[in-house]
Amino acid sequence: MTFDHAFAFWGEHLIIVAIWLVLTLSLNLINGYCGLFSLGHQGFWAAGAYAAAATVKYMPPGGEHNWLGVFLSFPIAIFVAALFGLIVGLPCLRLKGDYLAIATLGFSEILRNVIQNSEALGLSLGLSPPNVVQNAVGTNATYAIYLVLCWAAVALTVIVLRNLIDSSHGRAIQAVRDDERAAELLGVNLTFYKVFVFVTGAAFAGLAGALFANFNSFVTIGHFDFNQGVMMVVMVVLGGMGNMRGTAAATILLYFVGNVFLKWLPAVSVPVFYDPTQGGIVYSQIKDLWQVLYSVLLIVVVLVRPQGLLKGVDFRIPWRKKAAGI
Amino acid sequence: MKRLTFCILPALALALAILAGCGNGGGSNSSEALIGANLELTGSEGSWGVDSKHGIELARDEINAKPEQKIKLKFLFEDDKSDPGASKDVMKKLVTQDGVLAVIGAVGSGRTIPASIVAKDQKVPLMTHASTNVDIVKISDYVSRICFNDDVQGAAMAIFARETLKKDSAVMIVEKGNPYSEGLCASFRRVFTERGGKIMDELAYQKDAQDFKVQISTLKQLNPPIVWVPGYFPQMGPLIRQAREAGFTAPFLGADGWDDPQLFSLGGPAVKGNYFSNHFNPYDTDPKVQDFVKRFQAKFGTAPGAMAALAYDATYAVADAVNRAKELKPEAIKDAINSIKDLKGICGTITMAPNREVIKDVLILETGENNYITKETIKSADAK
Amino acid sequence: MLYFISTILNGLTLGSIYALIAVGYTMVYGIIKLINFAHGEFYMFGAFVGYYVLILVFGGKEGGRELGMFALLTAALIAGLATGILAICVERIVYRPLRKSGRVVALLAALGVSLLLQNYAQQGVGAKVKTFPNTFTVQRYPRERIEPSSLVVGEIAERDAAVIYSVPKDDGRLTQIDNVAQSGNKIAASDVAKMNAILQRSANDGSAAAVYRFPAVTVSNNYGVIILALAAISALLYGLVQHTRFGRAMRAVSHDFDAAALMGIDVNRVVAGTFFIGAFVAGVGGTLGGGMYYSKIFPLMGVTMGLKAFVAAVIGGIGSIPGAVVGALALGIAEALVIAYGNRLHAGLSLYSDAVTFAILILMLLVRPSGLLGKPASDKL
Repeated sequence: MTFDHAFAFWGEHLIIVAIWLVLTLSLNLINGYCGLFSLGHQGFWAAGAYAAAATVKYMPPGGEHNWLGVFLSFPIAIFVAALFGLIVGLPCLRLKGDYLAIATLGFSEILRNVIQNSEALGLSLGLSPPNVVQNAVGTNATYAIYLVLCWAAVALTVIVLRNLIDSSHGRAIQAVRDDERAAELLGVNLTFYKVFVFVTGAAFAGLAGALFANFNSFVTIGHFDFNQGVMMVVMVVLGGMGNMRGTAAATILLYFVGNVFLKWLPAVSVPVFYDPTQGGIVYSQIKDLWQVLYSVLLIVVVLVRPQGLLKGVDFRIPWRKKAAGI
Repeated sequence: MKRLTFCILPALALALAILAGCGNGGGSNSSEALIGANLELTGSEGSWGVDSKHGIELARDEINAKPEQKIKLKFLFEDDKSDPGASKDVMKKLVTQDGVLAVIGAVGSGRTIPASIVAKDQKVPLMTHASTNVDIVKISDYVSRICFNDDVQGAAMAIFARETLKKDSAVMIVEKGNPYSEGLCASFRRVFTERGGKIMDELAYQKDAQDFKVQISTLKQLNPPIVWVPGYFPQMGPLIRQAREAGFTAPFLGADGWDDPQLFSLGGPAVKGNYFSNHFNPYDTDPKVQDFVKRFQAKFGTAPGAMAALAYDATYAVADAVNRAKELKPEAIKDAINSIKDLKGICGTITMAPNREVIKDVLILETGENNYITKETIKSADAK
Repeated sequence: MLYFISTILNGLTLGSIYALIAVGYTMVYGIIKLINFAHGEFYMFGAFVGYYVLILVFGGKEGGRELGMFALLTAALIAGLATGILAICVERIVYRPLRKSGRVVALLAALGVSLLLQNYAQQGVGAKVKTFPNTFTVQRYPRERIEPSSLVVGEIAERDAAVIYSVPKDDGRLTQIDNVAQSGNKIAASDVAKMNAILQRSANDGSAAAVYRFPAVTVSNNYGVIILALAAISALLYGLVQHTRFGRAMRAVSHDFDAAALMGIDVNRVVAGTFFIGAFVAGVGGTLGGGMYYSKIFPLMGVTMGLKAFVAAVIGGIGSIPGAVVGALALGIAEALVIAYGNRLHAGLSLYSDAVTFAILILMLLVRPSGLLGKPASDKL
């Protein structure tokens, strides 16, 4: 394996994991800090990604070097996703808990159905904007550029959300989660904060969508299906709802275990099923069992540590703890 | 400053990576050519990918066993799960991370189009053995195919419907969003109407549909003499079965997406007596075909479908290109692929035209009890 | 008009399958306020149990001989029982410990169970589509036996006609139907010749063969099985809930969980029983709907059906069993109407049936969260 191949391998994974971090951190604002249980974050992601892809593809002058499209795709994607956040947030004000979850899921399914049948958005085939950066600078430089860009987006998300949570608005948001009626009595504007949280979360999902669409130069509804939304929720839950560090750690952990480390496992087959029609015992590769393992993990965490697998874990590195005098 | 943790984890991973990465072998050297295969090994059309993989393996073993083959072929199989997004991901992995010289695949046009975009961006040749959508080879000169395209296939079926079956009107059923199905509907409509036929209506269904009752009620109301439905077998079996159960009698016409043994198990006896175009008929009495079927059966225990035969031919085509290429670089392989000439295969002779298309005959098969009967062979040149 | 009637019939069929799933959704929600996301997977599980029973116990094969109604009903029953037991296990292991942890946490656990069942099935039985063994041949009713000679080549057929005969298959028989005429079309010489050949052949080997004709609107026997199963299940459930001790206990638990416990009702048994019954119905639905009716089973078959059934339960008023049935039938009809008439309003509109389904869901949640037949409850939202 040459340096180029290793760089492509790690570049790819570090870029995608950064995009996932933006997604889960923003979902954490909605689900974790505000307690609005959303199952529709993949819908906002899709809205942003499709908006960005369409911008790069259709924005005049168009063509293989449409830099204007690339630059505009980010604000447009964020705006479109935020708009969807508003559309979903307003009617969902009346709903709570599991009903809200179902309604957000319903919205993302509607969006999916509409995209699937929209000629301009490439139907179920998907939309492929020109890979502008790749065309200009080549493979390695593209990875380098997107690495910087995506991790800058993660930093931006962390800084914005951290400051928001630490502000008085953040306390109001958490008050809504802890006791809606008490918060209202104390003068917290429920309507405003619920919509605000949806719009902000969706805007960051839109940012992730723009990064994804530009980097991948291909979006299709398969990228944004319900299972992706569930994966995001699982990451937030494992990290401990309303815990940014935990969410980030869970995202990185789950992504790398599922997409990288498991694939390095030696080829070991384990019996999973007995089926005479398939000729007796059915074997699976360990690396193919990840999906099964992570669903078990989700159930176990919910049962044993409903506050999250990583909640309460001190993520500070040892010498910093010492410096802080702990 | 604790936020630094966020940066340290990935940095650590990167360091680990380069260490782990250097241990991995791979790439091509002067005695071995690494070729990728991007196939639907699982998912809704998984049986096509497995069939193709078998075809490639049979050809690979035959080629590598030849003493005159100096450069051995090594294949890396990747599964695109019958999903366009995954197809792009595995293609990118094959090219950027494994450093393959060329890629064979995929079967479905919906999966080959995103893979072709990677081929164009990364400048690595992609040869599809079975995707018939017209636009695929127009994406870049790194993309070629060794089967006829949907214009030829749709036209051949339109000619068959007009001239042999002598039907003057038809209803089309399209799988919305599937470029294969939509492309075939467009070419069928063009040739059928040019030759004086009339398209009465165009109905649609969604990917993964299983209930076609409403479409069939519409069919019975419209009462067309034939129905053009170029979809994939997981939908075609149930569609034809439900239509016959409802008493709809007109024949269904389709294309190579029908070719799979599951058409018969899903459709039951209703499948008999319909027509589709194909590249290959395993029940053909031609000794060349029967010899291939025998070798295939001896190795894998099943009869080959068209996808296996095409993948087998594609492997020989890639081997031919590897042997003729000036150097073992994707660029040179591409030039060699684009100049393949008179290469004899199971599904006809491969001569790459300047537009990276080949000219081949279209077989029109009638579905029997559990087999296909070759009805007619339409020359690719006639099907315009 | 005929087209409209057949569209409604198609919708009712679809709706009946939704109903078999929606009943379980609504029962479980009614009693412990849990959206059991895994319920669609119970449907899938039932279909696979039915498949294996037919193959391993009755010696069926994909595309093989007919196994008969007894085999199908036995398979459905075993599938129901197995699914019920699975549901009891899931309830005992996963949901019971979470009963006091809040609805969102339980919802997450349900998602986990749903994913586990889907992913495990993909590894165990494989992601590939399987064909359900033949149990009986789909035939249309009413029908009328006619003399073969009444079909004259070249005449315009007034009614659909078909020859129905049986052929030997894997040490058994398989009924086959060849359509001879379609109403409004000329009777073709080739079809009549084929019919005569079939009649001749069966006269020679003594097997049954006859020619029938059908009116313009018919109902298929596979639909008949589903609607009968749905009717029987609905009636049984109604009797169970309204007229038995267990039903009274269920209603009490549903009304006020804690008070019911204080009154000496064994709530754990009631909840387990509810899970069993709901999953039993879904398992039967899997074998009859996914298996016998669609004849195509695969690990992800429960996902869309489960979601649609949930929407149906919300439309009908979640918690109400008659509501689930009514909601499911209404949803089936709505979808069939969108597919049938959408294109006439605007090209391509037919394909938006899923969007319409979920739009109905959201509208329902906002405007009338208690559904068509549910009781309005102030604190549910």
